[in-house]
Amino acid sequence: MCGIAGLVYKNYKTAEVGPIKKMTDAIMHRGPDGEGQYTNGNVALGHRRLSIIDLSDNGSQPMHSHDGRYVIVFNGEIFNYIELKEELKAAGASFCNNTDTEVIIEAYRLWGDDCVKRFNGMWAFCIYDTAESTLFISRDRFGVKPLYILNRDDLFAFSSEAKGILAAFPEENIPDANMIYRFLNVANEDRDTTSYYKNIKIFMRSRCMKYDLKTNTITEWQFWDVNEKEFYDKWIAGNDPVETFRSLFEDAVKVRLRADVEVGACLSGGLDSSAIVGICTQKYGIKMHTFSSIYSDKNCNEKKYIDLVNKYNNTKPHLIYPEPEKSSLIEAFKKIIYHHDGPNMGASLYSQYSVMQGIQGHVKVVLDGQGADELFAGYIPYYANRLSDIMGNNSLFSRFKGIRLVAILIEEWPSMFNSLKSNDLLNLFGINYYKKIKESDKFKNRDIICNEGTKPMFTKELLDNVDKTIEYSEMNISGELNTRLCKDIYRDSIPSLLHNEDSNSMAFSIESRTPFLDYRIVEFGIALDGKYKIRNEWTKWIIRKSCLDYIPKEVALRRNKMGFPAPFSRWLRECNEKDEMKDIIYSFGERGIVPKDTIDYYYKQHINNNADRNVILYKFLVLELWLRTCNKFDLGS
Amino acid sequence: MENILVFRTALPDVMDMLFKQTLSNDTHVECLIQHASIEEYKSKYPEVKFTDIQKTAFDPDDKELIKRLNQSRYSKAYIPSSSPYFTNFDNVIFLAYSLNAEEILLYNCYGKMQSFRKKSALADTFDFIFTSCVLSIYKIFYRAKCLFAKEG
Repeated sequence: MCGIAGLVYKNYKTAEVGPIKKMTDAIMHRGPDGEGQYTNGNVALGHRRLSIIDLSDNGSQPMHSHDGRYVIVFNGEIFNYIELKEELKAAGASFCNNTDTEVIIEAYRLWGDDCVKRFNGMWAFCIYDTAESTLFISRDRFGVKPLYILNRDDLFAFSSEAKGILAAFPEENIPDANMIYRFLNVANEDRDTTSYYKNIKIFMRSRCMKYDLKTNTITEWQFWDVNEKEFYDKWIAGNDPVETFRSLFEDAVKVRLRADVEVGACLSGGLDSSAIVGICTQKYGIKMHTFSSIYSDKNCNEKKYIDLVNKYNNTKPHLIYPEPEKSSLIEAFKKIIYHHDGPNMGASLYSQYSVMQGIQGHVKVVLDGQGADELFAGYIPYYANRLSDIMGNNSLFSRFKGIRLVAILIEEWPSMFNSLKSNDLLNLFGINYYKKIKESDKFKNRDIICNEGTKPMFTKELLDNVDKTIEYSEMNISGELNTRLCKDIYRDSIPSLLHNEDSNSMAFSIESRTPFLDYRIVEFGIALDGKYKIRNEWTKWIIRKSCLDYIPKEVALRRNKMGFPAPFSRWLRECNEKDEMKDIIYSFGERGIVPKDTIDYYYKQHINNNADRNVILYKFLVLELWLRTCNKFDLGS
Repeated sequence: MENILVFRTALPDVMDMLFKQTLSNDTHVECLIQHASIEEYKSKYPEVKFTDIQKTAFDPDDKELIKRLNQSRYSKAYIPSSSPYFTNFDNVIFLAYSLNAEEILLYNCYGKMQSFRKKSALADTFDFIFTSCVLSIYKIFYRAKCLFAKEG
């Protein structure tokens, strides 16, 4: 896991070490163990190293192939590099070191552009072919490892973080108004190439690029895409889904334990991280370091479950108490914004950031449960889509099943009843009973809250100057639940969560590995029938069923979940810096993005306990903090 | 001429799409709209009749509005959504059910539609009894299951 950067002068100006070093210096936190720069004609490549596999100097980058033809800078890990190396050796390839980096070079030499299809891992890399005068750039299937690109008339540059590009080209520190609109509106970040900076673009997941240095032309293509039928034939057809999942999951964890340094795990006390810890200790006999955040707030405190898992697995637990009273919350938000290269969606990042801070100095690599909720339907609102699938059958039996699902939802999570879709409920209940339910006291209060807060979110000035269209590429697979999950994995949710995961972990030079996002598990999950995901009162049913012996019963049977929560709602009202936070939020009103009275309305509503507006107030706060670091913000430009 | 009713429940791009689809020489389109937006929409779509609901949100119990609208008969009532889904559209749907509309169409941001026809009073009564009974039975079973699981 490292940081990479590259630079091509299109006017064939000779590349000096200076600019590329500026780029790698800006991302030093990604790799404090070493650095390297390489220049050749108008090309420069740079690297910061975090030594994980082959700790010797043999692993330094930019790395040259044994014959000197290829030069590579690589950020990430190819977890199946041992198997690939055997295959390559059998085909006649020779190796000089024990790194996965060299495996990429030799795989590229033998299999060409298609080599990436054989990789199981997380990556962003660039291979410079000195013989062909090309750059081959690729990013992993789900975007675990980031890559940003600046493509101007005079130069082409890339870096693991936008700040790498900004360090060499500070004139590009211009906020993107469209992205600000999106940030405050509905869409998540990282869903397409738009970054928070106007001219810096995200190089999208699952993609490769060939840059021809002779002609300065770029060819780009996608090497992996959702193909439900292919995934079904590959992983589901003729197999027992529970057994298949268990073996895939165990192997995904196993290959992610490959490292020449100690590997730990983030433990939230939920099902997913507990299952990972269980497999590591019980299946592979590793005494794990686990890292958990603990809050004093009752609603955010997961200590009971964390203790259970640690005891069950006899781990080496580390409990982290991220309380803002102990340090400046605003300063922490500023650091998160810096590492995130922009504002971020929620205060829960602070918890994740604090956990990563606590890990520093203990281990260099952690396993994390990211992706399980989106793959196997861990969130209660997914019941709405499961209900739609059930109702799609249009039979009396499906009507019974649908009513049973609704009965469970009403009993277990009444507040989530409103997430069910009106059309399904109408089909299920008929108009009169539906009206009766909605008018019952249990669900009435929520409606009042939903209806009373209607204030214009944007100024006319902003709306007149942004592109409001967000492309919704269709993704149709069987069943509404699977379609929604697929969109969340590939477009709406996971890309943004992975951005958070990478920026928070790399801020403290920690490599985070996500076994649930092993491409085999993702392909399996996409093709898996919804009934293995939501069954009666159980979300992520298949994980519970297949990992039952790896986790304490209380955790396997728990139906609530928190993830990495943060009590930002309370902090806004009570913490030491609440006045300073108020000033920042109100000063955001001066920017002409959101009307001042909207900000005032939401703030007073929250402070007076009339409604919980912490989500939108957090966005105002971090957006203002970020805009203060930018060169200029001109709505008209 | 076909009489069509549209609820203004989506962002402008979806409303544009819907108006393009429904406006023709053979249709008369009426749109129920919030007070704050009426002028903007009137100037954009002069061929549509806009009716001010005098409120910021649709109220299924607005008897005056229902009475006024029920002087007309609509072949279709469109409820557009800016997302693919229709969560929290109940008030609008309830209001639509109170009107003389033969068919209610939920219209999402991709232009996909889901249609409802008002059921007969008998069918509605059957639905009510059937659902009440089945839902209550499931709730009792579920509570019992949880109780036994706890004790077990």
